[in-house]
Amino acid sequence: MNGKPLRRPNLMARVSPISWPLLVRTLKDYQGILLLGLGLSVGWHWLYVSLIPKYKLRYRLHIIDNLPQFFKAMIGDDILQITTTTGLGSFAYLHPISLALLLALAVWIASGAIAGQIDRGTVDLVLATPLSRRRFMITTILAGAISGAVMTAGMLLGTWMGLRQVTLEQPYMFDRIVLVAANLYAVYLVAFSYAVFFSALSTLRSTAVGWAFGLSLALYLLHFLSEWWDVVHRISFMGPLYYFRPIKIAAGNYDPTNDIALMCGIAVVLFAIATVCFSRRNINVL
Amino acid sequence: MYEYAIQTAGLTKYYGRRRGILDVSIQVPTGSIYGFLGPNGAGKTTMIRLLLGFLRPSSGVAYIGGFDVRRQSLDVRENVGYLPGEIRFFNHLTGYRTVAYLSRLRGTDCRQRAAFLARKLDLDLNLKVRYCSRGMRQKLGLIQAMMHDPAVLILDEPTNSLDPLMQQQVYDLLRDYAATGGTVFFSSHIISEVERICDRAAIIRDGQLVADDAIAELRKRSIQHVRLVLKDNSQLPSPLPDGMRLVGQKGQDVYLIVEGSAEILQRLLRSIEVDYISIEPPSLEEVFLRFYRKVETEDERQTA
Repeated sequence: MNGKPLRRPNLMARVSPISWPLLVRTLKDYQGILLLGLGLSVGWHWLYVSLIPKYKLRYRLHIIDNLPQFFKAMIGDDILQITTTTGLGSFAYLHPISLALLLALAVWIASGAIAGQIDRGTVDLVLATPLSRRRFMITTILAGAISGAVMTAGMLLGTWMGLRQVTLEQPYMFDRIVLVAANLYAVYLVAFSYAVFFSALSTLRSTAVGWAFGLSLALYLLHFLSEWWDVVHRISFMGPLYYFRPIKIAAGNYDPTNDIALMCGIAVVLFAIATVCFSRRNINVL
Repeated sequence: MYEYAIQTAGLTKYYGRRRGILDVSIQVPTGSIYGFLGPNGAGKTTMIRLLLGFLRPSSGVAYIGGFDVRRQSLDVRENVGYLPGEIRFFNHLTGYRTVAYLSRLRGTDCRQRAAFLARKLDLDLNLKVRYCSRGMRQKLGLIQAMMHDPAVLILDEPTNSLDPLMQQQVYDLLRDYAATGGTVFFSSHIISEVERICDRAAIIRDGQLVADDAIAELRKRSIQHVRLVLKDNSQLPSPLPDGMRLVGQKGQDVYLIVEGSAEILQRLLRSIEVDYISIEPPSLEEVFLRFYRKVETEDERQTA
């Protein structure tokens, strides 16, 4: 018997590395968490800048000088280099609130869009269409990268809004803060890349989240302990926070281009490995 | 055109040391409804996931419409509609948005056909999936599998959670689809529905194919219940021919079980005179059980 005529996938499916419907769907799926994160980012940075003129700069520098070693280790030795209002402003980007917001977003999207789809079973519907796994991964990575960029832009927006309504005792160099935000975005990309890697290998979302948060904690501890132990200090270059120097950048004596390029390179390599792993793995029924 | 819509040769899948399926070779004729029978855990879903490229085979090859399922996976998925066994949707979307999204992923506008199928299956596509019953989700699953008019339909227990009336509508839909040249790979553990709508069926047990034939042929290979009323002067030969067993006798009224082809019975009828004869055709269930019991007996013998 003559069967139904066979079709070939359309040109877009064969050539384009990105699936636009999947990109739009992924961004829509995470729009709630993205809007919440955006609101918190804008609010936190706006509030932070608004509070800068409440106290004289020298009093704040005095507080920083006398911070217990524990807190200095948490933040990093760079804090001693805060000598300007811009430096003080950049501290908001190093603050655990900013880091936690970006890390949460990276892990949430990476785990939900890949392992989460396998976990929920919706990946069966998506991958039963002529969508290659490589396209699926590239599109998901793009959605995560856009979300991180939106969050980082939200932080800059908060800073800008705060600056519009306060009078500072020194000029505030917004262009340096843009560089700080770019450096932070590179840290986000690294965190997102290992979260994507774990997610690409996992079948359960909880497993992917556990591994990603576990590694984040380990990398943070590496950064924290490097201030205390010389041995750890020697290997601290292995953590992304080693390449995140907002206070130095704000001080105007540090060019983060190499750091940003290195972190982006690491992220791209991890994305590529994750894509290959996902393309070759078995997708089982739970 | 292509003679076989689905072809596999020596398809094997191991999960570590655990067996998934072992050396499965099938040929599904184009335009047929092919039943794939087996109890839970026999390897039906593994087979389907291998065909769709969700799993990588340990060895063997599979083709759908002539396309290699591993090397030409996109071509395969362009031409296949798939209904998973435990279908799960995006709960926050309506049925309409679900089909619109999947349609966009396919790069073709299938919304009109989806609406037609929804009318046929009596499903309101404006309802959010989270408010749909299991039966409604199953219907939505069928719609998304059929909306792009694929050459091959792979259905994993498609009538799950459907009421008998709706089951009948699904059977009609599948028959119409097959009549237009579509091929259906119909995995099920419900023997009666496979018997009702399939042209051919394969039986899988512990990951291995134990039978693969036309339904009528499978029935022939099975036992048949025969009732004979012998003429007064006639008697059954003793001993009975091989493949025949006496299960009851009341005077001239005898009940026999005949295994295998009808030829054995014909030979017997030539040697005796009968007033009345009735042959009860075997159900597929008996075929199924017979294959399972046979393999179990062989297993027991080997163990002993």
